[in-house]
Order: sequence, then C-alpha cells, then structure tokens
Amino acid sequence: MLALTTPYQTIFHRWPASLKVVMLLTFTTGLMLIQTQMLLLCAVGLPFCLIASQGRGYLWFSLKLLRALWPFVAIILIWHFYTADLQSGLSIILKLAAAFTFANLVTTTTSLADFSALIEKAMAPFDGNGAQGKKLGLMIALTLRFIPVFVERASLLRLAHRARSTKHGTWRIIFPLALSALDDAEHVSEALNARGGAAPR
Amino acid sequence: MADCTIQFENVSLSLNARKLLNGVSLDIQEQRVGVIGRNGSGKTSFARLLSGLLAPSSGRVRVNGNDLFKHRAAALKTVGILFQNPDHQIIFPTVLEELSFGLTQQGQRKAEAMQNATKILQQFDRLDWAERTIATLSQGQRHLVCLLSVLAMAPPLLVLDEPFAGLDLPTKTYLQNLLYGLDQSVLHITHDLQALAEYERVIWLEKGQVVGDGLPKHIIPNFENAMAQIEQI
Amino acid sequence: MDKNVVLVSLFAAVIAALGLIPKITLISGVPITAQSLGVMLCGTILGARAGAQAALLFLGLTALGLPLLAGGRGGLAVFASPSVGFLIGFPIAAFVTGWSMQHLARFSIGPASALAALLGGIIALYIPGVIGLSIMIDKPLLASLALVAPFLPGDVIKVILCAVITRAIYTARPQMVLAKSLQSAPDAAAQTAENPPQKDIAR
Repeated sequence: MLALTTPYQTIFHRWPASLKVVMLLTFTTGLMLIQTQMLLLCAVGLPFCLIASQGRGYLWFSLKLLRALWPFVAIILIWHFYTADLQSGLSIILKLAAAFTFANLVTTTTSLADFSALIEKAMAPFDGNGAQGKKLGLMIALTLRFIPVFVERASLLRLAHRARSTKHGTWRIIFPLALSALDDAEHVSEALNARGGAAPR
Repeated sequence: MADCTIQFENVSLSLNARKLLNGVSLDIQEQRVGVIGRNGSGKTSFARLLSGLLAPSSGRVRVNGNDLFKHRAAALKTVGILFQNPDHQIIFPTVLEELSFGLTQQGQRKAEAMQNATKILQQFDRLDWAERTIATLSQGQRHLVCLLSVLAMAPPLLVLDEPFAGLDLPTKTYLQNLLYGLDQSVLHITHDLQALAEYERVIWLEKGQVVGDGLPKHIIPNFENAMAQIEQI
Repeated sequence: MDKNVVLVSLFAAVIAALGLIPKITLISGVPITAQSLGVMLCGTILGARAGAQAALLFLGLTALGLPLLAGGRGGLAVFASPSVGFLIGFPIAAFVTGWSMQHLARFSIGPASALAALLGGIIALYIPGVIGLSIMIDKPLLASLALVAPFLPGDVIKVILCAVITRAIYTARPQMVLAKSLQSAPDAAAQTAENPPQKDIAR
C-alpha cells in the first residue's frame, strides 16, 4: 500500500513528525486569521518557498498536486468574476492553495511508520496498559491488509459480471463485496482468537 | 519429536439445535494422524474443539492434560491451527509483522519477537520475505506464511484443517514434504487421501461420529468404497 | 471484543476499496463515487458505534497519507481542501445512519435502511459538508448549498442502493442482526464452519 510519499529527498524528511504537524496546524490557523494583504502574500509564499528550497523536482511535484483543487478554483473565479471582486477571490484561492500545499509537504515527507509512532506517543498518557494502542495498531494493520484483498475481489466480481452481461453494472458488485467482508470478519476473528485475540495477555 | 497426547472423552457438540459431534471418544498419541470424512461430518468442529476455539456441549477435551478452551495461554503454547484459506488467517500487511504477531501474543517483547520471526524466515530460507507485503505473494506463498506464523510459536501440536486445497501439485508437494519433516505432532484433516498414506493413524468421521479408526492402509480403502457408493449428494 | 475490532477494520477497508470503483457520470454531468455509499452501509450493517469507528479509521488512514479517497487522494491536504466538511461528515453520517437503523428496527429492513441512509448519508453528511465548504471558500451557506445541489440526485440514488443492498445482506445472513447484537466469535465461527458461505470469490 503506497503512502503518498515523494521520491525526492528533502530536508523535511528528517524533521520529526510532531514538529511538522504542529507547524501545519499553526500555519493553517494563522492563515485563517490574517486580514491584511501584505501579510497574506508573505504567509502564502511560505510553503512554496520551503518547497522551492528543496529543488526543482520537488517543487514541480508539489505544484502538480495542486491540480486537485481546480474545480474549486474554477467556481471561485467564476463567482468573483461575476461579482467583479476578483481580488478577494484570488485571496481565497491563495489561502486554499497555501494550506493545501503545506499539508502536502507534511504528508509527502513523513512515512507511515513515523505517523504511527507519533500517534502512539500522543495516546500514551491516556492509554494505561497500552491496550488501546495495541488495539488501534491491530486495526490499522488489518485494514491495510485487507484493502488490496477487497480491491482485487472487486475487480474479479466485475469480471464475473462482464462475463455474463453486456451492461455496466459496476455497482452490482457492492453487495457481494460487503457480504464477503462480513464473512471474512467471521474467519479472521476466529484466526485472531486462535492466536490469542486482540486483548493483551 | 515433540510429544503430544489428545483425549476426547465422550464429546458432543451442538450448535443451534444441530448436533455436530456425537459422543466422540478418542485417545491420540501418534505423531502423524489423519482425519477424513465428507463435508459436514464434523471434521472442522473436531479441529476447533481440539484447538480450544470451541467448548464441547458435553464431555471433555484435553490436550497434554489441558483444557485449551479455558486456558488460552496454554492453548497458544500447545496447539497451532492452520485453516483452509490464507486470506482468512493472515492479519498483517507484511510478512514480518504477521510472523511476529503470534510471538508478541505469547508474551515476547516486540524486538525479541521480530528477531525470532526473522530467525524462522532464515531457517526456511525466506529472509528476503521479511519486508514483503502479503498482497504481492502468490496463494502458495501465502499458505507458507500461514504455516511459518504458526511454526514460529513452536507448538507441539499442529492442526491442519484442509490447508492445501486448491494449490497446484508442486506447491502442495513442497508444503506437504515440509510438514512431514517437522518435529511437532500433526493432525491433518484433508480430502487428499494420498497425502495420508504414510501417516500412523487415520480417523474417519461420519455424521459427527467415529466410524473408522486405524492404519491408513485399512481405513482409506474402506472410505473410498463407501464414497463411491453414494448415489445422491 | 475481537469480532468488533475485525468488523470495523474490514469495513474501513471496504470504504477504501469502494473509492477505487470507477465513477459513474449522471446525465447532469455530475460524477458520483461509491464511497459515501460505503459509509451508509457501515451504518446500516454495523450500527452506530462500529459504523462510525469504521469511517473514522478510514479517515485516520487517509490523514496518514494513504491515497484512499476516490480519485487516489489522501494525506493531510484533503483536510485543507474545501470538501473537508464532507470528510468530517463521514463518521457522523455513519453514526446517524446506524443510530436511525437501530431505532427503526421494528420496520422492515428496506424502508428502515432507506430512511436511515437518508438521515445519515444525506442530511447528517451535508450539514458539516456545506458548513465546511462555506467556511473554506468564504461564501454564504445558501450559496454553498446551491453549489453542492447537483450532487444530491446521485446521493438519493445511493440511498436507494443502500436500502436494496442492506436488505440483501440481512436476507443472506439472518444471524448478523445489527451490530448491537453481534454474536461472539466462537459461536458465529462454528456456525459458518458448518454452514459454509458461498465459494470464495477471491480465488
């Protein structure tokens, strides 16, 4: 299961996950509170400068991720074109793009393992004997284990449907998929039980 | 070879008004035991009772003197069970995590568990599998992962509930040979009668009762004849 | 309870897998994805708590960087996008769907799940969704509602599908009556052992 990491090495990869998350939260909160244009332009520029400092490859990679925002950008532009208020439209778009990009920066430079360790640490004060953390770890592992299983099953179901019908029926596979998940849950919980169960010993 | 004694004393199992096992009494000390029977004859219930996953409705089940349903910690140290479909048993997305899991369940610390898991991969010449994701493994390879995760826990008794159905011949032969060379006692439930030819004892279950019990060369031909005469399913 | 842990995890995986089903485009030109249908089903099949947990687990994994949202999106950035309200709405939608389902238990499964999916998958989802959108693009609530209105017909279709699928599930597995009365693992496992479900599709 490929996490959204980047092949480009950056200095941010070495920064601790907790630091990056705090920076992100501070940045996005601050962004919402800024009123003056000058300050906004500086703030918006920050993530892009950070990214640009790591090379053209990473910059281009990060900019491409912005494509996901295009429908919202289009709506805002059209709206503000009609209300003849392009300036505020642009500031909304810039804020969005900046927050989005900063968040991507954190995601693409932090591995799943690092995030998991961060969650464990964050939970530690609330989690007496480690039982909750263990359960959560097990659930994450189970989900990651079964996503590819269900994806493959979904495509097999689609093939089976295509072999017997000229119609699309992409959505006919949802029932058998959900049913198989229920059945698998029976077996997996038995296998889990056979190896000691989710509760710590 | 690891010693293992299994005792079923007049064991019956009923679920939802269906009688799955009816007055089964067995004393098993052999190292290689096969269990055969039609689907629905109670073989799977037998395996689950043996592993302590179910409690009998009446009678007693003891493995090495222990009640494995009540004493799960003892169960983890005594019996390892392998089911038919690896996708129903493999819980973790990578091989090393999967192998380490049973060991942490037995009480080992994480680092120790991972070390021991790596050792068993090394033992079976699969060290390169450590970081591999299950999704990239073939069905036969997944069966092997299941076997290794159980073996890593070093139980004296291995219960196999039709674990090799659907595998191609070379994979099946490979896994069966592996099994045969193991130290632990093996109780093998299977439809593959050939696999049981060298076993010490074969038990034939029919409608929840033992209808045959002895050497493979006696029991298997009787079973085959009886199956050939069934005209309706 | 082991069974709960497994059900929640597996259904989180189902939501993720549904994100990969190709989008269908309605006549109006609006694409609809199967993911929110997965969230509704978590509610109708697993109940309020487990359903919400499944949706929450799915969100958590998405936040950690896995590309699980329809279109291969993921990471913290999706929470910095205008549709963040809908994401936060997922566990709320699952909870409300499940809660409604549990309180409508006396009615027949089909209408009950349709109503539950409507309350959860549309009303309880669109409220945080529209609020979130309106905050992120700095527009009044009513305007934001108008912006997402084209997606409503697709979601109504999903409500109907949810009802059909839920009813089929309950018919196929009558012993799995809503999460609140989940059987313990050994019983259910032995049952399925002696009444094995249909052949593995994944073989």
